[in-house]
Amino acid sequence: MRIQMGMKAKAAFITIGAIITVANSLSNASAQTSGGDLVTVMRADPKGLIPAFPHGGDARIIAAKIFEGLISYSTDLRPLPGLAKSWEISSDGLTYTFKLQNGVHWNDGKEFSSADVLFSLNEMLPATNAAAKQALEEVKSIEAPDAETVVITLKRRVPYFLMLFPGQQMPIMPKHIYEGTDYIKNPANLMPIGTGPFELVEWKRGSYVRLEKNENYWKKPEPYLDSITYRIMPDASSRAIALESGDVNVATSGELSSSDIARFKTSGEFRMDSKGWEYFASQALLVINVRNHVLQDARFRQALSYALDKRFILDHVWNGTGAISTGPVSHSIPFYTDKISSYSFDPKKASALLDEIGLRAGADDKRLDAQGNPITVKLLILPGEPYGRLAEYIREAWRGIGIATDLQAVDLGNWYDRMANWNFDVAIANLGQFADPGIGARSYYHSGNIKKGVMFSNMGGYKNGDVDALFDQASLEMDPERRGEIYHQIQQKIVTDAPAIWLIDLERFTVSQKNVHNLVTDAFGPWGSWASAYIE
Amino acid sequence: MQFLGYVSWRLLKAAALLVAVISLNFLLIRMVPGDPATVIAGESGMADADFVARIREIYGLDQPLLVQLKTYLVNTLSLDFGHSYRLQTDVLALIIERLPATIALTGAAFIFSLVVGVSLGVIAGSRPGSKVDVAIQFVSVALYSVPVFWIGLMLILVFSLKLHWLPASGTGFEYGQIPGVLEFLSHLLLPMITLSLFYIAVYIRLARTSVVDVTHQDFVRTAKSKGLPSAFILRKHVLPNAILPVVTMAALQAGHLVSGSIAVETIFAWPGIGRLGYEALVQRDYNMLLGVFLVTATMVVLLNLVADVLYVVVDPRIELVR
Repeated sequence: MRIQMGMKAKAAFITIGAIITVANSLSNASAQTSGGDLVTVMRADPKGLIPAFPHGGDARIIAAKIFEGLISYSTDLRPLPGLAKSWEISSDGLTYTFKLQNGVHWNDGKEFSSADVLFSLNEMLPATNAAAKQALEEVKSIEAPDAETVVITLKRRVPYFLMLFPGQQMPIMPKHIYEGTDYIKNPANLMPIGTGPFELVEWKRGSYVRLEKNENYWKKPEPYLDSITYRIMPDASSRAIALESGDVNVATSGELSSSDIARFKTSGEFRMDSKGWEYFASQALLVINVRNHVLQDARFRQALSYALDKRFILDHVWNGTGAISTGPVSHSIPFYTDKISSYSFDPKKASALLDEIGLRAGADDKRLDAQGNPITVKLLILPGEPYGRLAEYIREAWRGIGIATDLQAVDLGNWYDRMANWNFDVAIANLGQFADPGIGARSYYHSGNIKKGVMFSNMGGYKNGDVDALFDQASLEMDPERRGEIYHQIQQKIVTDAPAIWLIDLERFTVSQKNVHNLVTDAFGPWGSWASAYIE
Repeated sequence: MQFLGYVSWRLLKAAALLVAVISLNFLLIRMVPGDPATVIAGESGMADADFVARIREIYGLDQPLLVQLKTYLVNTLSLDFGHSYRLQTDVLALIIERLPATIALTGAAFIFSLVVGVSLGVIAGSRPGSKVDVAIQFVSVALYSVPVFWIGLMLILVFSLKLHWLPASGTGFEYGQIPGVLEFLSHLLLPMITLSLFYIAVYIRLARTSVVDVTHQDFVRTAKSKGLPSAFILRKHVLPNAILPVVTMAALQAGHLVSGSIAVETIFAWPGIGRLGYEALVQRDYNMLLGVFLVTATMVVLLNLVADVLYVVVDPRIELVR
């Protein structure tokens, strides 16, 4: 409260943004050549092309070339201008004023204005997109004093509020197309009208999605590429071969197997950029259902963690790409700390913990529960590569401390279903961090987010009153340093309680032929707009 | 008259079978855990309960199962296969769009495997025990046992990546222009061969065994003792009798003409029906999956019908019994 008063007294506004625009365009202005047809790959057809709908990551990769958000983020997670050329945050942290770019048109020729922003944030996104709806919960009002200004007033301070506005999460949609229509059945869903650097030419299902340059893009002289073609190629080996044979110019970790990535890394024949994944920052981990029998005991969960050699997992399951996780926040996220005690590989300690709980070892060194039955943990495997291999290793490692593991291989629909409905013991998962512990980690470990039937909530049922209170405190703290301290405490507390076993902060790559430039210009890599990408 | 009665009786049975297949498919799919709402919500990264409920409502998943089944049957019989939530398009239109690519691949493989397989089988069967026979049998066993995806990848590695003779994937339509006939055929060649190899192995074994069997029968010995030339005996006496098992197998393969091949279409990024169905399953795209099942099942039932009728025509030994 005191801090709020003090800052209010200054009544000053902070301006960010405009300077970064200049710096950014200067760095790109040197060597680019215009023209070129870029071919890249996708595993399956996108589920749509409209980012306002929850169509999943692949759809957003394409949509990010057609639609834009108010801001974007640099690879070190500083905000960059998008449709907003600058923004001001009032000193009390409650009012955000966005100044929009001039001369922006939708690609049907209609002028873009603050009315589109209002429509998107007030009407369309809350109705179509659960993530956007949640993000806008703390908003009191959104107003447009004139055609180039949008003012958002919050009910309470949200330190990470700006983090919610990249186009990938909060795309701005055309009011004149969608207002008053049934959003899901709107014919423009198949021929999207956006403000972005590219527009859709053809989506041939099962074969390709073809985009061509938007000649009237507002940010001259971009875009440089004439076209981008997403070829739909369902087989990972075929995608790697297409890249090697030159049929395809670009692929990412999302499309390549970890062994192919490791091979390309050694061969050096491609440009490999590990930047551009900072916002989503995936972490591979084991989510533990703390409701289930022995798993209720934190010591048992700790034992499971001590029994796993994370170095081995990094080297042999992920072929050495990535970093060993230390806790619920990954290395690339602000407020990460390594100054916490985590779980090294220590099977002796694991066994000691199991002894302490009273799970004695019976015949064949199998641990038995109080009734004398051998303890078996069900491990739900996330479908896809390399999680099957990971599961095999985990089974062997846990066998070493006398715990039997029942591997459960399911398809993705089934996996979602079981996770959302708490129908698992331990589950291999891959969770995004969304640039701030207040967005990512909070939704996975705050007990207020234990919601049955809802994916990516607190699915393991972890509950610690102290952690909840700290998360709530952090979500009101505007001072980055103090917020950092709170998040450090949170990380240590969660790691001690071990509601999950954090394995690898995944390192992902954008792999391209060496004559392709500027693919990674922000924290979204392949999800970026590619407006400044070019082929030499 | 007896023949017409037979055909219409079979048609009636086929129609009943199809309705049963539609209903069974519908119920089976609903029994698999995880519905479109969980998949959509899961892939959006974040979700809430209202949202999941609204998705269920949009796709009619909040209705009782029997009501859903009734709606589905009525719609299907009026050729409305529904809308694919995943591909944002009409199910029937997309299946029809995929048919040419599917049939080009499976049809070419069908003809190729039939011609190559039967020829090799007859060559081997007419000289049992010879070096040629042993070599052909070896090839047949090898082709039968090697997994399709492995052969496909090896062919790509050799003919596309190393020799640069043939394209590795796609149909040639990917770059915003219509390819020439030769270019299309060059895209077709590798997947067609990959898909054919297994069937070639099967046809070799069937044709060879059948030819060997028939060669030992009395009427062939009689023909030989009459001093007829062996090529004539093979053509006029052996082949017509040896061909029946091949027809059975060919009818089975033909049934799969429209279902495509998941493995080959996946490896070669071929936009066929096999992949369409497989991806629909993974995404719980009910309408699309049911549409693919229905079209495939109809085709299998129809072609079996045709094969049964063909038997009666081809083989005078088969009699119709009332």
